[in-house]
Amino acid sequence: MERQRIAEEAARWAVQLESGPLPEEEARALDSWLAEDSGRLGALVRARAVACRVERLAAMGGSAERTRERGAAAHAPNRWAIAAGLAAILSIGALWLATRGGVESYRSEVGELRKLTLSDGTRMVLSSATLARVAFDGERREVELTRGEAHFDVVKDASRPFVVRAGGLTVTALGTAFAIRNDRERVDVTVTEGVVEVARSDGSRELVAPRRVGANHQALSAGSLALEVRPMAAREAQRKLAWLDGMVVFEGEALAEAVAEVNRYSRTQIVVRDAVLASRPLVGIFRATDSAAFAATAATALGVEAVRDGDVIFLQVRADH
Amino acid sequence: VNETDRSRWIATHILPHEGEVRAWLRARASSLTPADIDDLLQETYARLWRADLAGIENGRGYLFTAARNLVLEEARRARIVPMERMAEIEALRLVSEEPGPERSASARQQLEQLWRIVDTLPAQCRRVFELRYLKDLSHGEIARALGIAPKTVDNHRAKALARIGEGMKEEHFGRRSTAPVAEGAREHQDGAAEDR
Repeated sequence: MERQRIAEEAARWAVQLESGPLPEEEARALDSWLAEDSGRLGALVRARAVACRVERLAAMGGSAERTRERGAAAHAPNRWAIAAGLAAILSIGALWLATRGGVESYRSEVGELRKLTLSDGTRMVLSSATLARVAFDGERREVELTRGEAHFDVVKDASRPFVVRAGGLTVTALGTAFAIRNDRERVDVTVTEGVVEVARSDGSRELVAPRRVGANHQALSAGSLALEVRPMAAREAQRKLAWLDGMVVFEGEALAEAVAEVNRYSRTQIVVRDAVLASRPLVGIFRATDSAAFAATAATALGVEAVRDGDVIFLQVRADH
Repeated sequence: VNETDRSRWIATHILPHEGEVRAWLRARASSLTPADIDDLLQETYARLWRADLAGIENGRGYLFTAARNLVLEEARRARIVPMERMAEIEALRLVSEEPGPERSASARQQLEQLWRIVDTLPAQCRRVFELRYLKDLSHGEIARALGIAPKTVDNHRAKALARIGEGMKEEHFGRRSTAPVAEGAREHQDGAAEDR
C-alpha cells in the first residue's frame, strides 16, 4: 500500500537522521523525497517523534525489561533483578500496592468518576456510587461489582480469565471491553468490543447455560427474566457509555427515567411533581453531575419550572397554569 | 528549537494522544475514511514542524483543536459539503474535558505495548531492535555482532519503527492489539494496583 510504503520510507529517514545531520548527498536525496508529495513531511515528522518516543520508553523501562530477556535467564529470574525492575517501575510514578492474593475494594462516591488501572493493565472506570472488590492471583482475575456501574477494558491473559460477578450474573471476558451495571433489581451488560460469556447463577448453581455476547450487544437480567441478549446499535452503546465522559444522553426517554439517571450522580435529588409531566420525553446531552443545569434545561424544554428547596429540586407545572 | 528537541516535544506532548484523537474522529465523524484521518493527522504533524511550540500549552488540546480545524478547513474548501459532515463538525466541538494523562496509557502500559509489538517482529529485526535498546549497542556494534551490513541494520530498524508507528495509531497505544501477552512481563505485577 502506498501509505504504508511512505511510512516505511519516512521511518528509514528518521533512523538516518537519528545519528546526526545527513551528509550532503543524502540531504539532497531527502529534500527530493520530501518534495514529491506534501504529505511526506508529516510522515517524517511523525516517524521522528515515534523514534524519540521509543527511545524514551526503552530508557524508562530498560532496567525492568532486562529481566525479561529471552532464553534461559527468563525462566529463573534473579530476585534482585526483579527488585530492580520494581524500583524502575516505582520511579516512573506508578503507585503500587502490595496485595498479592488479597482483595482490594474500590469505591466511588456519588458524582465521582474513578479511573483505575488494575495490576494486569486492565482499565476499570467506576461510575457514581459504585463498589467493586478486586481479587487477583496467579490463576484468576475476579471482580465483584457489589453496586453501581463499571466499565472494563480488559487486557488479554489466556491463563487468567477475567470474571466480573454482579447480582447473580457472571461475565467472563478474554481481552474485551464491556460495561456492567448493577441496579439490584436489574443487571445490565453492554459489550463494546470482543466477546464475553454471561452466565446467571445462584451461588454455586448455574441457572441458565452461559451465553456468548458479542460487541454491540447487551445482556440483561431482571427479576424472573432469565437472561435476555439483544443487539444494540453502536450509537446506542455509545450513548449508554456516555458516563465515561461524565455525560448522560437522553433521546426521548420519559422525564422520570431521565431524572432517575441524573439522580444517580448527585446528592441533589430531582423530584418530578406531576405524573403527566413525568412521562414526557426528553432529548439532550447533560453533564452527569450537574443536576441543577439538567433541571433548568429540562424545565425550559418542557415549559415547566424548577424550584429548589435545599438538596431537592422540584420539577413542576407552573403555578399560573 | 532544534530538530531533535522538536521531535522530542512532539513525542511527549502530541504522539501519546494520537490514538485517542483518531478514536474520537472515528466516533464523531463517521463519514471520514481511515485514509482521511491519516491525511488529517499527517497534515497536523507537518504543521507542528513549523509551529511555535512555546505557544502550545496543552498538546492534547492542541491536537483535538487542530484536527477539528482541519475538518472545517476542508469543508470550507469543498464546493459541496454533505449535511452529514456539517453535523459532524458540530459534534467535533465536544471534546472530553478529562485531562490527558488519565485517558492515555501510562508509560508502563505503553512500554508493555511496545514490547508486544516487538515480539511480533521478524527474528532478525527483533534482534536488531533489542541490541539497540536493551544492550545500548551502537549502529556499528550491532552490524558486527550480527555480521550484517550497516545498511541492513538501518533497514531492520526502519521496519521496526514503522510497525511501532502503526501500533501507536491505536487508542491507548495498541491495547486492542491481538498479540499475545509477553511471557514473564507479569511477574512483578500480580496483585498490584495503580490508582490514577
